[in-house]
Amino acid sequence: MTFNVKDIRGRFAILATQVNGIPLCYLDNAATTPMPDLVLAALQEFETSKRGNVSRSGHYLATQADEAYQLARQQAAQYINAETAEEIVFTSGTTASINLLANSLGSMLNAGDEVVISLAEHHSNFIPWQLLRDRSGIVLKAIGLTDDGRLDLSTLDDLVTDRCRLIAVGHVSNVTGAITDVKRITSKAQSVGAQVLLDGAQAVPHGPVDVQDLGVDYYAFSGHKCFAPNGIGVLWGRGDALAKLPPFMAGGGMVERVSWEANSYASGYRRFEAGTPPIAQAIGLGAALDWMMNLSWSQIKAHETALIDKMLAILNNTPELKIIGPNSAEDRIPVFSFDIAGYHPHDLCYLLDQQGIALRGGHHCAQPLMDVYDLVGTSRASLSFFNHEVDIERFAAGLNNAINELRL
Amino acid sequence: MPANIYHQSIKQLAADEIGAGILPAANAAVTMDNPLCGDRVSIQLILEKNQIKQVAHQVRGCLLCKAAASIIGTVVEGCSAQEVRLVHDQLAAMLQGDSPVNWRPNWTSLSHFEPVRSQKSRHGCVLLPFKALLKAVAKTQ
Repeated sequence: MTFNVKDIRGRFAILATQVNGIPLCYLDNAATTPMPDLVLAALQEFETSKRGNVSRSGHYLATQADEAYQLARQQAAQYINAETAEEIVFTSGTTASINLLANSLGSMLNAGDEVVISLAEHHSNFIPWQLLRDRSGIVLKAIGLTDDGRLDLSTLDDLVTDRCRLIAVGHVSNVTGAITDVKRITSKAQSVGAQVLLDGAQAVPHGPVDVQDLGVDYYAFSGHKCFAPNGIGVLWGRGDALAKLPPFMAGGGMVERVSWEANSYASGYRRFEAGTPPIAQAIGLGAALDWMMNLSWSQIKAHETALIDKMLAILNNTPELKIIGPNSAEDRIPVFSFDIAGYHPHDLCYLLDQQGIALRGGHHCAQPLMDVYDLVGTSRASLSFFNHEVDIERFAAGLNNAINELRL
Repeated sequence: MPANIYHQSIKQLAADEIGAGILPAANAAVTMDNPLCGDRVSIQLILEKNQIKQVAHQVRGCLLCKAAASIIGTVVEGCSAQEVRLVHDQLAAMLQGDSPVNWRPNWTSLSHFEPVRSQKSRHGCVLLPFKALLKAVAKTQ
């Protein structure tokens, strides 16, 4: 299938929205992505012809629901090249996935054991480990950042000792767009017998992931950031790693046998999916990932690289603008945070919104990163493969207008 | 189209930064953050015999936040704790409502924020310095 950005854009009805009578220019994909027609159709199909509960009843609708739900699990497994779908745990999102791991794996750690994160982490991969530290006495360490917004891996040898049990970092930064050098992390982790969790929320929308090649133990991502509904996400755990984790949430569906005296818990993903899951949302996620799996990624990569080059040229030509992140297309996705001296992100993004251009201004749930660069926040433009050059031209003109409007 | 919230008066107030600084002899100091955007306002004041004698603020925030802090810096010295509460409540009510406002004496410059009414996402920016001021006053009580 040849990549055609116009055809792709045609699948997203919401892109036809008008803001103050002006066509929407959506550049906030790192916050959330729109859903294409095929995902909406999958949701509609489930709710109108297959809605039943899963893993419970045996009637026609329940069976239909179960098959659709497990197909979604297969589709998620395929997208990240999991060895089996048994390794895919459906959660309500990346935050829930990481909290699940922090509590489950965390219950197996002892005081003095070490967990290494980074100062670039989204709060969802920062706070759960702080809470674990506060309640269990693990030692929490953080990898610092370079001037161009990457993890400073020169400190890895000092930070990762033989007490390290887990390194938990983002696959891609939601602020800087920088792609982490995962191989360097996994190599160091393996040398001390530590496991690795990647927060893949920002990586997944930019192409299929290969957890086998990455060599990590856990991978988390969210549906709403990859063209799927809210309220669904995945925690992938390598089979042998997942098998050792105790349950976190308890209730129906995660047990084999419950009695007053003792319980036995289900195996694989089942142990971690207590209660009725977000079935429709999972099916929507499966549909989105299946669609994405079959896109022409080599062409999309070339398209995104062109968008990155064009955006960087505009940002570099804007006076007093500092890019918070890498200043090249190498090892980064099209997420751009920037600071303009004397102009607050909130003011800039408000005026861009008045021109139909959607950015996010603020700390992006990454306040430790903001502290590193002594900022309260940045303006952030985050593109997807449905964005095109017109969006960038509008952004350039809109930013110029906003700066002029704010000038005294 | 929404009203222009960045009119000249707002931009001038923000640029003037009236009252910006540090008050080492303060008997109350407060720092507050806007959790949505990370804006930060610090207020120090000297309040004696129920009257604000001096105030200073540091603002890392948007134009609206800075302009609001400037108005505080211009007018608040001489105000009582009760006056500060009444002004905050009047400002919050104005932002939520759509009726004309009979501003309290000396505080008529708050009318510059009337265009912000329709922009609910920006109400917090205007109110943050006043919330910090209220919290600082409460510390002296």
